[in-house]
Amino acid sequence: LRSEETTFSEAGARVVFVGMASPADCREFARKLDLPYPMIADPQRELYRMFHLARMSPLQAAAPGVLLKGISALARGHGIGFPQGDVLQLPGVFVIGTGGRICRAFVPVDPGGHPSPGDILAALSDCPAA
Amino acid sequence: MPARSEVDAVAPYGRAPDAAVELADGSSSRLSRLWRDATLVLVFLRHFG
Repeated sequence: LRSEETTFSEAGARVVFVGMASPADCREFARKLDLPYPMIADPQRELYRMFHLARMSPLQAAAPGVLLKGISALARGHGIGFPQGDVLQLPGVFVIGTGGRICRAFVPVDPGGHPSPGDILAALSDCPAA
Repeated sequence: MPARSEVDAVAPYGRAPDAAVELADGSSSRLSRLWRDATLVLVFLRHFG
């Protein structure tokens, strides 16, 4: 998503990240990754719960497929230090229209199941401006 | 930080909770301010690191 800022902007979308950390830690994370989007700091994961994003069980986290995806992500340089936040918390992406309706929800069953920028851009067409 | 009392549940494909949130720059907002004039793509990250 980092390199798609102009594309999302031209599509009329506002991208906002949510992180499980304090405002200061979110700022540091955004700085390290050069994120061009604003971030919401949610250290207690309250917003995660409001959107019904699940946590993995320890058994799920230790499943070979999940471990392989994690190793693969590290090998691609996605790791930026010691994990901070709830390592069992699953991510998610929600596309929300101008009236507050959730048009699309990408809720993976494991941490590697995130949508591509193209998937999210396609979902914008399901979510016309009010 | 979102106020827990605002909305406890969001039905799949229903309305998003209009939670109070704290942005990384230290300012506060409500989610409805973020979706008011543009489609909002809300990306929940995994842990940092």
